[in-house]
Order: sequence, then structure tokens, then C-alpha cells
Amino acid sequence: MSQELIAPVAAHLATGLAVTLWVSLLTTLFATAIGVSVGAASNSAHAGVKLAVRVYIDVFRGVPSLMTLLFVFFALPHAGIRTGPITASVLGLALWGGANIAETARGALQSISSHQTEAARALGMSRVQALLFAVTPQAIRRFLPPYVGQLTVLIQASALTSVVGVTDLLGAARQMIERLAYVGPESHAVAIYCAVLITFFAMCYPLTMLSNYLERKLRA
Amino acid sequence: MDQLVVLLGGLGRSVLISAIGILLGVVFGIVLGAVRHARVPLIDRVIGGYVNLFRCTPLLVQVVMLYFALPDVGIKLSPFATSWLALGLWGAAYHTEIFRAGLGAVSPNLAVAARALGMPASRTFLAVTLPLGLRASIPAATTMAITQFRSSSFMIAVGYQELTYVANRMVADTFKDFEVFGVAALAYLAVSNAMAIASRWLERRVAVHGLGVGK
Repeated sequence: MSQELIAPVAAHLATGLAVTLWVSLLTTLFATAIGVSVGAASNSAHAGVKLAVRVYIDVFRGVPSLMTLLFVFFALPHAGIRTGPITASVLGLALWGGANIAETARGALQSISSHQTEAARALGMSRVQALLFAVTPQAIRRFLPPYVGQLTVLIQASALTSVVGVTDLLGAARQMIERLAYVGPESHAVAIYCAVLITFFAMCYPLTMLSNYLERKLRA
Repeated sequence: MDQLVVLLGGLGRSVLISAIGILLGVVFGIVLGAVRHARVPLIDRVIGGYVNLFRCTPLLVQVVMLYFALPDVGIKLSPFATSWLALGLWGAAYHTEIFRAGLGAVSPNLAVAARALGMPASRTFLAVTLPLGLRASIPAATTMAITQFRSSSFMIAVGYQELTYVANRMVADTFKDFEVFGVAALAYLAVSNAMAIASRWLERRVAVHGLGVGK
């Protein structure tokens, strides 16, 4: 790639990266909120709530993330809600990611012996208090390592938004390659996609290392 | 009715690319996992790099790169070839770590016993560690295989007409989002569950009585 091209290409990719970071951040926040509340609800004594939690987790974990995203993208306008592709993508990815995080949270909560809850209840704590003050502090150690690993999955999933026309990092890369094809005969696909690959790697590799570190550190 | 046939065709192509991709991923995963298990000095680093590169970058970017960037270096792949190759290369990275962990879960005492009985190292690996390690890897490898199947939907990006591509086109034409995506979702769930059931059957079938791997 010639010298004078590098600056404008990098600038365009940077705007795409900003969108990728924004989508990843929002998805992470919503998916975490959904996942933690649904995971906690799996502990409910109510059979109906338990069933609803099971169905939500199994359906959204069993269906491709991309299809959840496309479904929300088409279904929202159909239901009369007008939003941009970014909002629809974040919602779709959060529903999918939330199911994965909920399953992790459910597993972590269930791995804590029921004797802990019984002991807390015997000391006079309510069900909610027992969950919050006896079970959760112990379950967090089991939850955190896979949760951090899941964050890399969410960051990677943000690339799917390019399928519905969001100019994220991948979308920006494709645009740039198409534009440069008009400028000259030389193709820049290899260089530009390598830059995308390296950027994602730089975001996800440290998180993977952190997840592994927490796994070793928090193993009780 | 016609639409159902079209969706079924899409499902068939999803299953086809997934089957090839899973086979490729599992075979490479076993070989690379075994090499990592043996801790061959330099090669271990190289395989580790491959694993990290493919696990820490989005599959979608890998797919797009295979299809749109490789022609620049003289390798032109069809959407079909891109689809199964991408699923295979990406899956192999995960399967490598799964099989490495499975082999690592086999009690080293068994290998020591085999060596004490006079088996050479290669025979010990092939007759003792590998068969037990593969058994221990079945649940995790199945989870990954199902993930590979679900991820076959990403091939929409290169225009391969798998289930998500077909469903997406149909919704764009008919606006029947609930019906079409509902049927497609059920199809994905049905195949995933069938894979999970088959895997549990296989696990029971090949179980060695009294030799639970691990602790």
C-alpha cells in the first residue's frame, strides 16, 4: 500500500472501530443485565419461572446468533418500532449473549451446595438474602472466568452487525476496499483485512489471557 | 409448501458444509491436540499460535478474508469451498484444545503401567492414552461441533445458500418474519438436539466399564 493511502484508510477503519467498540460495550451491558437476572431467576422456587428461564436459555443458545440478529432486525419494524440497524443489532446480540451468560450464571449458582442456602436460611436469612449474601459471593468465583471468556465472544459477534449494514470495523474495511478499487487497479484486500484481524486479536487475546488467569487464580 | 421445500434445501446445505467442516476440524484437532499433548518444543508454539489466532478473531472476518482477500494472492475459492474450509480451520483451533485437554485427563499412571509392561511409547499412546482421551473429549467436542453447525449461518456473508441465507431472502420477499425465522429456528434446534442425543448415545456405547477417565 502506498504511503499517501495509509492515513485515510486508517482514519476510516478507526471510525469503524469506534462503532465496533460502541456496539460491543452496549451488547455487553445489556447481555450481562439479562444474563445475571435470568440466571438468578433460575434459582426461583416458582415452577413457571423456572420453565420460562429454561425455554429462553435453550432457544437462544440453540439458534445462531446471526439469526437472532436478523430476526430482531426484521421484526422490530414489523411491530411498528422504527430503529436503526445498530439498535436492532445490539438488541439481537444481547438477547443471544444474555442466554449464554444466563447459562453460565445458572451453572455457577447451582455448583454451590444447597447446604449453604439451608444454613443461611437456618440463621434467619430470607431466600433473597441467602442468595445475595451466602451463595452469590461463592458463585462469583466460578462465574467470572467463563464470563470474561464470553466477553471475547460478544466482541467477535459485533462483527455480525456488518451483515445488516452497520459500518463497524469489518463494514468499514469492506467499504474501503470497494472505494480503493475505483482509485487504482491494485487491490488492498489482504492488507486491510489483516489490519482488521490484528485489531480484533488485540482486543480479544488479552481478555482470553485474563480469563485463563482468573480460572487459575479463583479455582477454589 | 414450496417455501418449506426451499427452507429444507437450505437446511441440507447447512448440514453439508457443517459435516465437512466438523470432520475437518475434528481430524485436525485430534492430530494437533496429540502433538500438543506430546509437547514437541517448537511445534507446540506454532500450533499454539494457530489456536490463538483463530480463537481470538471473529469467524466472520476469517470467512470474508478467505473469500475476498485470498484471490489477491492467487487462490480463488467458491462460496461452498470457503464455507466448509472456514468452518474446518476455525473449528480445528477449538478442537485442538479440547482433545489436548481430553488426552491430559487420562491418568498418567495408565501410561506408566503400559510402559512398565514393555510397550513402546508410540504403542502406549495409540493403545492406551489416545482411546481413553478421545472418550473423555466426546462431550466438549460435541458442544463445539454444534457451535460449528450454528455458525454455518455466517456463510450468508459469501452468498452460500444455507438455511439463514434462504430464510433471510424469504423474509425480505414475504415479510413473514415470525413464520420463516420460527421454522428456521426450529430446524437449527432440531439438528443441534439430534447431535447432542447422538453424542450421548456414542458416549455410553464406547464407555469402558470401571475406567472413568480422570481423577
